Parts: sequence; structure tokens; C-alpha cells
Amino acid sequence: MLETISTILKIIIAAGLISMGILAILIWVRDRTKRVTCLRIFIQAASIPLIFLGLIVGPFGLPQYPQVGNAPRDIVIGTEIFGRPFPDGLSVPVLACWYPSGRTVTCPIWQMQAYLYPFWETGVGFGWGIIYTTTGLERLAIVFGLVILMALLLGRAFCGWICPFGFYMDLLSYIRRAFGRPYRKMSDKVNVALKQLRYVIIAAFMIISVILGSKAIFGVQLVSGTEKGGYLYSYASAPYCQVCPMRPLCVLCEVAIGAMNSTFVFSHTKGLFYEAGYYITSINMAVLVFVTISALAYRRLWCRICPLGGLTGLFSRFPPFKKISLLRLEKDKEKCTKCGICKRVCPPQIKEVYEKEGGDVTTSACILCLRCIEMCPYDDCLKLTLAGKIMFKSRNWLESN
Amino acid sequence: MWPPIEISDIYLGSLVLGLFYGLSLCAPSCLPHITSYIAGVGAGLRRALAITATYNVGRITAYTLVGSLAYMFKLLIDDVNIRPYQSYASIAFGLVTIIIGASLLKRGDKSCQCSLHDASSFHKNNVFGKVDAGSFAMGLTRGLIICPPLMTLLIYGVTAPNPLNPLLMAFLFGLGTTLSPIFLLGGIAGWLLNKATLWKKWIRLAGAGILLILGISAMLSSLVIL
Repeated sequence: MLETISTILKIIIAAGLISMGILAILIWVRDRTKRVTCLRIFIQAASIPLIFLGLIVGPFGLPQYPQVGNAPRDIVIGTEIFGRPFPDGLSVPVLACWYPSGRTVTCPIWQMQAYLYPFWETGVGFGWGIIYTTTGLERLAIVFGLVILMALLLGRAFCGWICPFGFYMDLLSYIRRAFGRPYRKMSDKVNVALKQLRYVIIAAFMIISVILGSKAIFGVQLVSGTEKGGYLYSYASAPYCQVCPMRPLCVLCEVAIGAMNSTFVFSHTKGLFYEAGYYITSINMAVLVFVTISALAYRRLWCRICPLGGLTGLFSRFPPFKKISLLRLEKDKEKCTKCGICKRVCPPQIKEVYEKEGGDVTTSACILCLRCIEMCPYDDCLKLTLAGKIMFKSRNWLESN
Repeated sequence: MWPPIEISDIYLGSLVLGLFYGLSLCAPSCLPHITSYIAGVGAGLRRALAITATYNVGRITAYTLVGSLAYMFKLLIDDVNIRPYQSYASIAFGLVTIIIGASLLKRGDKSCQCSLHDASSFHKNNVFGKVDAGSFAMGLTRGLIICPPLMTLLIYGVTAPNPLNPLLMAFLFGLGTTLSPIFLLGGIAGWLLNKATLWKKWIRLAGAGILLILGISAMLSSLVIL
């Protein structure tokens, strides 16, 4: 009981500090072309401790390997949904990797893949040493339900404002800017191709997950090693996570701050290039290095191909979800002079805000960072609405500055 | 706990058995072929569903054919004869898969030269316009490979005096298997892949290539058994 009260108090204090920070930014940042960006950076930075709150307020949790100290899932805030434990954390459409310690929320892509494996089962174990009281179907329903709900509420604003990997991408852009180097622009064709690649990645990993999990789902083993206790069951039950750049970034950061036991982590990371490790694989590392170097040149590079962003986009910008999604970027065609600023400042290089005549100009690739609204020099030309209510709108910053 | 359900009617039993088989064992064995074919032809949601339906029609036809042949040649249903039959059926399935894969691979280069507009109009004309011969042929040859539950049904059916008995049982079993998760998975895969218009050429090549590999592996494994 005391622990719960203490946690609630800590969360209230954290929320209070964040609110004060937001107010301070709005009061002190006078340059109107930087106010939204400053607010966004602050929220991104504040989201990281919230996502990994278990490192601060824990441990509450599930000591899987007490003999080796802090290992993944040693410190995790258990979640309850409808009175039933949901030990992997709530599904929020941000790359909040499942593998490191202390996370309060979890990447839904991991959950969707992993829950296919012990599809019908409850109980102890099943590869991850976690006790589930819900069946695989219930877990999948919770994950899809939460993702659809959140996508309908905030769309890809999660990518622009909360995702830790998006913040990492932004930091790399700021580093480049600190050296006075301008951004590089991708050709439109390559940019569109990258955005479309998200759907290929989602489709490919959906099919791969079902094939690898066929033993658990259909009772027929299509690939050897996918049986319980098999090599692929243990290591590749979440195939996308074997290539995701967020996993090594999270794990290495936590190893660096001492939140994860380096000996334990690296003892599970073995083998040659083709061999999968549990926490970090060679492929993971190669993707992270490639994305890091490329993101120094191109803004928000990963966000253009991120399958999680694609999934959030699917559930917010495509029929039938498009009609009921609450967050929209709207344009007043009477006030737009086609100056092209919105197109130039957009981090993922979206053209639709510039090209579309007016009305709802949100696209599935838009991360709703609101840089276009911030930089648009015409009063009320661009605005962000939540359920029809205006949240942000463009201002004539030329005069006010 | 509910008491076990007893199905006294053999026809209803065949349908239910097909239904359970379609929901479980049947889906993963057909999924790689169907999704590769959907990728190979560059189908969208509606066409993917139509392809899956045509594939299922092919399977039902094959099951019905097997049912009628089983009655005519009762010798087929024993352990000595069934093994070579299964191997030859598997080789036929592999061969058809290879031919379809190769033709898609050949067509892939040509059809991807067209513009986006041409591609979409091509799909519109082909959604329900004509029968997809490739998926039908694949379903037909896949259905010729007798799965264990169908085998059980046929062994029971051939003892009946009425020649329509095994035929109807096999047909109803096939009808039951059509309600399968591959409809959902194939449809979603087609819907997603169709959004990547700039990758269409590569998706088609990948789909055709996988079909070739699946066909070759099916043939090789059958030849080894023979």
C-alpha cells in the first residue's frame, strides 16, 4: 500500500515538473519559430524517463534471473488491465523496446509477434519466463485494441512527440546543425519509395511471424527449431526485433548507465554475423550504425520506413479509420499563398501539405511534429485540430518577431 | 465443461471436419503458396480475396474428383498404393508451382513497365472479370494430395453402397476447409503490398522466386520418397 502511494506521489511530482517545464517554455521562448520545437524537444526528453520509469521508481517486479543481478524484466512496472496482470507493459505506438529494464510501456510490434507464439497458452514460461494469466488471443486483442485506440486519438503524433528513437533521430539532426552543415534532401522518388517500404516490411514480418509461429497457432510446424525450447523459438520469436535498431540502442544505453548487467547481456550476444543473439545481434548493430550515419545527413530517416509508424498510420489515415481519427492537420486554401515553406521545413519531406488544396492534409507519413504550422507565416492557414478543437495554429511570426 | 458433441450425420461431420482442418492444419501449408502468388501477381485486397477464393474452388474440385475416383478405384485407398500416388500428386503440385512461378517471373519484367494508372486499371479488369487460372491450378493440384482427415473420410466413404457418398463427403470436406485464416492473411498481405506501388516490380519478383523455390522443394522431397 505504502509502495503504491509512494509511486503515485512520484508520478504526480514528475507530471508536475513536466507541466512546469511546458509553461516555462511557452513563457520564455520568444522566437515564435522555435516555440513548438522547444516544447516538442522538452516532451520528447520528458517521455524517456516516463517510458523507463521502472529504473527510477522500481523495482516492483519480476526477478527472472536474481543470480545475475539486474537483467531485463528485473525492474518493470506491472500493468493491470481489467484487473488482470499484463506484465509486458502497455502497448503504446512508440519504439519503447521490450528488451531493456524499467520500461512502463512496450513496443506493440514485439507484442504482436511474440504473442503469436504461445497463442493459446497461459501460465509460466513459454520462452520469456513471464507468468501470463491472459490467453494469447486476449493479449493480441489488448495490443490491437490499444494501438487502434491510440492511433485514432493521436495518430502519428506519438512518432513526432514521444518516440525515443524519433528523439534520437532529432538529436542527430541537431548535431549536424551544430556543425553548421545544412540538411541533405532526398529525391522525391526515393522518399516515396522509403515510405512505401513500411508496408512491405509489415507484410513480410506478418507472414514470417505466422510461419514461424505456425506450431503454436495452427499446430503444424513449418520450420524446424520453432518448437518450444527450439533455437528459433527462443531467439527469433520476434523476427522484426532481430533487425530493429532500437533494441541495441536501448540495451547499450542501459548497460552504460549500469541498469543492465553487461556480463549477462553480452553472454547472450554471441556468434557470427548470421547468428542471432538475445539482446543485440550483429544485424541489429549494423542497422543501428547505418541508420545513425544516415540520420546525420537526412532528418528523421528511420521514421520514413518505420513499420510501427506505418501501422499507426494505417490505423489513423486509411479507411475506415480515417473518418474517425481525432487529430488532423488542416489547411485553409484561401490563406495559403503556396510559398513552399511547409515543404522545405518538413523533417520527413512530405509534399502533401504544400500540394493539397485545403482541408485535411494529414498523411500516413506525417509525424505531426508541427514544424509546418510553426513556420507557416500566415495567420490560421495551417492548424492542428483534436476532435475539431484547434490545438495549434500558424501565426504571422514575421511581424511578431 | 461441455459434454463432447456427437455428430451422427456423416455429411455434417465431413463439413465440420473440413472446417476444423481449414482453421488449423490446412492454413499454414497453403499460406506460403497463396501469399507468394498474391505478391507475384501484384494483387490488391479484392483481388487477393478473389485469388484465395479461386484457390479454394480448385481444392474443392480436386477433393470432389478424388472422392469420385476413390469410389471407382477402391484399391487406391490402401497403404501400398497411396504412397506413390501422394508422391506423384506432390510432384504435379510442385511442377505447377514451378510453372506459375516461372511465368510470373517472366511476366514480372513486362508488366512493371506500365504506369501506375495502367496497373490499377489492369487490376480492376481482373478482379472478378475472369477466373484466375494460376491460383485455380495451384489449388487443384494441392487438393490432389490427400490429407489425413480426407483419407479417413474416403476410407469410410468407399464402403458405402451409394457411389455419391464419398463424392459428397469429399466435397463437403473441401467446402468446410474454405473458411480459413488464409483469407484474412492473404487479404491483408495483398492490401499492404499493393500500397507499395514503387516496389511492385521487386515484390512480384520476390513472390515469383519464392513460388519457384517452394515448387522445387516440393518436387525434390517427393522424388526422394519415390
